[in-house]
Amino acid sequence: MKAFISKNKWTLLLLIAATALMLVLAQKTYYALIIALFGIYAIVATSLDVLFGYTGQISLGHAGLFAIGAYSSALLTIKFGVPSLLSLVLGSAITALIGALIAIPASKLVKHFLSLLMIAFGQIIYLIINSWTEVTGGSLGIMNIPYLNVFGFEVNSNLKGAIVIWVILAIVLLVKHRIIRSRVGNAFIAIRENTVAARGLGIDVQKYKVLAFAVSAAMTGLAGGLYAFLRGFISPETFNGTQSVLFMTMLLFGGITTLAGPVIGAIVLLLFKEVFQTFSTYQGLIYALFMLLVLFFFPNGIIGLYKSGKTAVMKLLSKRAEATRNGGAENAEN
Amino acid sequence: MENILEIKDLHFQYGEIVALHGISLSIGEGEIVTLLGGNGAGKTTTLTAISGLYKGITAGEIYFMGEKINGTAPHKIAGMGIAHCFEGRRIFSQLSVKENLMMGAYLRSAKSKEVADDLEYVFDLFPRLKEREKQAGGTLSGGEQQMLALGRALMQKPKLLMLDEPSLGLAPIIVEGIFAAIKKINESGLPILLVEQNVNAALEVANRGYVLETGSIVGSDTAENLLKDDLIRKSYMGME
Repeated sequence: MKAFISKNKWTLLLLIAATALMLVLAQKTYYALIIALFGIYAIVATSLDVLFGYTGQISLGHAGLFAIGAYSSALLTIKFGVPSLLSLVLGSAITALIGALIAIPASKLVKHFLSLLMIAFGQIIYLIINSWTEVTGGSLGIMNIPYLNVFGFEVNSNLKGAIVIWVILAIVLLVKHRIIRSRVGNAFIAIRENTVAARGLGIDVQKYKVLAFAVSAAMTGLAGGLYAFLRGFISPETFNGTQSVLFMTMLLFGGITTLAGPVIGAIVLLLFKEVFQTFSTYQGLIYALFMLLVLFFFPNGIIGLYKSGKTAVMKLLSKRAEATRNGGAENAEN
Repeated sequence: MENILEIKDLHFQYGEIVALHGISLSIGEGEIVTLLGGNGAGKTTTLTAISGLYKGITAGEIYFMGEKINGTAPHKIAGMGIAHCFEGRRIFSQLSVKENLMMGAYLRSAKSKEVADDLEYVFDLFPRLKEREKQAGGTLSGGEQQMLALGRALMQKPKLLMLDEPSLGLAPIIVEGIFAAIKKINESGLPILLVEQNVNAALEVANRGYVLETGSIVGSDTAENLLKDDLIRKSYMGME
């Protein structure tokens, strides 16, 4: 824990500062909503990092998993009267299960084959929630989803939602960190780096690919459930293909295989989306531009840019220090 | 003496293409056995059939320490103690040298004293790796990458080591170092199955050799006799 804190002290400081700032801003309910959404999307981007950043499996269908989490949590509470917190957990579990099921065939595919399969998966879920009217309400969606109730604490405002969601985001980040540092994380990385070699070293590639899918789906499903309880209303439009692209853009923009990257990516892209609300028709185009920008100019995302910038500055400083030292030594000799 | 590895009449196909037409071979305790042959003879195919990385065995058996292993999943075969050091090395290029080596010990408890000892052993064998412990695998030279691949295989603490073209693309002086290391590894008692285009170097370290041609074994003898064999000298060493 100590090592974790000292290693990530800047990330943590930034988080605390951001939290303080957000708490101030969140006094206005609209800002509070945006901040809560930051947290939700940050969870999704983090989940994609587990799948894509660490295991190398691409998904352009995470909106489908997000939908499963949202709809199953909402329906469990509305139709079956399951307590909201339990629905949230069950929704996440159901999403994990479906994620694992789709992963069994998906884990045998790589690169564009996998991305096509996941696009198709996203589309199928979108079609189902759009047309299975008796259950999902079709294009009208589900209204009047009750508030989330966390052990008696009713999350009945955007501000409370923002707080609860950011606490959950922190837990998700901690879980991700734990997984990545474990043997499981090592297996994920080995598979991404070289699948054949991983197999040769005794790693059950199929098993870990499915596991990565399940973990990622569980996180995304959780985010979906949080979304449903926060907004009180869900409809298919929130879960279309563009949304899947947005998730991936958030991850790539922020930077893969870091804790802060997906969080920053989610915040920046969502801010962008809010500011340019009027251009909603061109959203797909804008994400595509963002992605190209990232791939061409800073393939390691914002975090990568920050890291390489830091290394460059450090080098410059150490050179200068050395020059001063050498100069000083010469002077002393003289 | 019981054989570590025993292959009986193994047939192997890639889809429609037959790559092995019933080969039989064995490796005894502590031996270095080499597979010789030109491109497409079936050398690499034999290794991948043993480690189970590609499915395609249509007939025949592979026994490892008395146990039949064909049809077993590759990660389980690795777990039984066969380390496959791949052609082209296949190191984890973004991981550091030490991380690469520790991946080799994936199936073992990373904190055990034995793993730490084995890491020391690898660093003793290849001091260059110790110097570059924290460097990313992908930034190493070809020779260093080969050392890393060998070291990673040793970290599996295998009971049989399979090496596929360890000299591929390396300068002669580096090749010499790699083969000296292979010899040294074998002296600790580890049996080695060696596939190598550099016939001369292979026969220098090997005890025995098999000659493969288009998926069949056309000859086998002690390394000493193979070195003297006219056909071998002409076909593979370009000597008159």
